Amino acid sequence: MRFGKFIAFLAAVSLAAPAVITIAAAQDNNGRGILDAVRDRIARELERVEGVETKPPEKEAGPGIIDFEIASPAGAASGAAAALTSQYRKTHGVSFGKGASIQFCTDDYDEINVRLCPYPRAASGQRAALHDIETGGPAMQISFDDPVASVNMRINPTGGQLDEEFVARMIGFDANGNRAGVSELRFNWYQDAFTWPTGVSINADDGAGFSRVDITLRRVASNNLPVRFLIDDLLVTPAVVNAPPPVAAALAALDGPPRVGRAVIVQSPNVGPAQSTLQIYPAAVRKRLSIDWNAVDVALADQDALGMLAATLAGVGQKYVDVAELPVLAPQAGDDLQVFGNADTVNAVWRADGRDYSVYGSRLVTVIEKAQGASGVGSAITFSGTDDELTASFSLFGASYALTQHCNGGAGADPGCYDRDALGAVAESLVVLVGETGRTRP
Amino acid sequence: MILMRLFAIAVLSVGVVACGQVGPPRPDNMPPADNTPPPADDDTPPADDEPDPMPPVDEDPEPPAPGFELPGGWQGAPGALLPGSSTVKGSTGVTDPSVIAPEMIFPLAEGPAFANSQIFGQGGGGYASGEWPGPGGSENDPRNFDYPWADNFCEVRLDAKHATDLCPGGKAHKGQDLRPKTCENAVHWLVAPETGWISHVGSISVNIMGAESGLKYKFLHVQMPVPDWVKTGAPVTQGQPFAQVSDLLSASSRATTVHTHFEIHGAADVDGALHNGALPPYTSLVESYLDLVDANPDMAEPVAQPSQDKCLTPQ
Ligand SMILES: [Zn+2]
Repeated sequence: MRFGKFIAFLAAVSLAAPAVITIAAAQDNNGRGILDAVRDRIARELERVEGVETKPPEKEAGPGIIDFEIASPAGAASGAAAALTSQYRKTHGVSFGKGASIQFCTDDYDEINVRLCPYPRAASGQRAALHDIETGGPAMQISFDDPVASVNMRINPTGGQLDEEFVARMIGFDANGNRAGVSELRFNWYQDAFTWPTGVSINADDGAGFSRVDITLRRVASNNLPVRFLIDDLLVTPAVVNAPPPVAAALAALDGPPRVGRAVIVQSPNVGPAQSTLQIYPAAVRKRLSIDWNAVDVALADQDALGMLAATLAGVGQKYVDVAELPVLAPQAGDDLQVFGNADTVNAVWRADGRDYSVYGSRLVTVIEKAQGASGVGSAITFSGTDDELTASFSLFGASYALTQHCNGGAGADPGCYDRDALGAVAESLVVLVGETGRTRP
Repeated sequence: MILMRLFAIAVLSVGVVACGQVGPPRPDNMPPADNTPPPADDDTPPADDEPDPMPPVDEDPEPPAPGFELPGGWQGAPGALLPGSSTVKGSTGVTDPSVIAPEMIFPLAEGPAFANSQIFGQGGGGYASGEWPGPGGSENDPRNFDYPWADNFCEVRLDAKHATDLCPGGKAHKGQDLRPKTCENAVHWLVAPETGWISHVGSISVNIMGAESGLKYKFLHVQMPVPDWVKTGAPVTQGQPFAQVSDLLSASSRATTVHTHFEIHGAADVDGALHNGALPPYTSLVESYLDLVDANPDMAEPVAQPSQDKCLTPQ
């Protein structure tokens, strides 16, 4: 292979001019060895930089990676550039500001086997993105349609001296244009066979995630002046911080009165011993509902991604979470959270904002006829109450739940206690707990 | 009505039992609650010397016990509200006789007890300024402490917090009112219907969750303070006394009658839709009361009410 025969050399260039850097590759096998060594060295260096991802992004890292393999003009000569704007918006939700272009570097060589590329060829292929400070200002601006949690990329100056010091800086902005994170990497440029050893990343602080990231590269030897640079292997990770909590999402998805799903009769006048204890009336029919454990798993994964945790369980609460054969709903915050119940019914109680709360869950239902002329269950979330409490009942994961806000002081003494919106907000903030038995999907 | 009068006469002609002579233990000598909540299949006997709440029916019947026996017609039918007392006038309550809680024992320590209406019983002023008129008179009228029982789940209530989808009109009384043996305040003990946990203690209420059925039992108008051990999460044993019947309408108002408002909460299948809230408790109370008086025939008989200075109409 012709490719394997070339030796690398580096041409120092003036960063002020669009100089040509000639790059070639080392022998394939040797090249891999060198690259590994360089990666190790870079990783060690990066570990010293707080808040910066230590591993440069891998090309194979995931479907979100942008390798700048599209958008080059077909048949264009090596080195030709196409403006990089919104070519990746549809597929990745990523757009670029002024000054960005796609640089591509074909396998064309001149008569002395020097590759005809205006800049160092990207490690991952023929194309990379260039930011030109003349037309785009000091920073490359990358915007995201949806907030992102982190941005990773390889970065490379368009030229430099061996071991020359550069500073890459990334600043993240939230949807309101406020700074939401910053990351800086100081590195010594190291030109090797495959070049591009430097990876930079930025992670959003807790909050809404980034809507835009600005990247600059500065040359320390030139009074930290910004220079043009190349990026490749851009990887963005969507933020999930704006996703609704799973119970809120499940409640929002409810449509119409909750229907009784698949169930098994566990008590009736003919099933179980109940009737033998009664003298006049029939034992009610009781049914045990099936739980949609797949939906439970999705909710658990979502709340893990959101970092949602239940408040600390007091006393023997975990024992009853572990016994429960249905998901337990619990608050994220609250004092003295207790859980008790049996396999089919469970009750969590806690205190928050000066009131007591409880959420009762059951996969046992009693079959009962409503009074003649009564409406029956009319909506997905039903509010009911007595003199000293307000309850919202609903069905999730196949089970039935009742969240109760206990009023202070009895009838009329705590009028705010009957605020349905406030109780609805409490319901939306609940988290799902599944204990030992629940994990067996009983 | 004829029955009612007959019983009133019967009460007057039988021996008078003095009020407050017999009762369950007082708070200061009640058994302490266990530290470990009972398991769902716990077979722990009742805390005190209550009889077995569920005598097997296949045993040879005992010879008839001497003394008072419940006559036929002692309990009105399920859903048969007092005339003119339903939210939608002329409609019934829940006539489905299904026993929601066959596990429960009667929630008063002793009989007799009387399931009936407060606002439509003697002394009751009805509802909504006479739009639903009551009979008036005295709350302490002996007829309030006599048979027959009357279901009052679905009795008229019009405020939003009494919303229910089980009763006509969408708003109603969602429990059963129970008068104890006499009109005396803070004398009659309530007992846990099931082994389980105290699931909430409110300003005038105690809720208990049954470990076997998973149902929740709610008691309103309990005397405050309740015994020290009655705290949210505390284990409770079936039959264990936990509070007394009172006339508290709120923490500072004794504006209701001496009675317990009793509710059973749980999930239900109503026409194929899931309901989670108050369920009609009347037939569960009837059955558990039968167990109580079968084991204690002397507890079935109404007693003469104490003098009026002991049982004033609540203010
Ligand atoms: Zn009541």
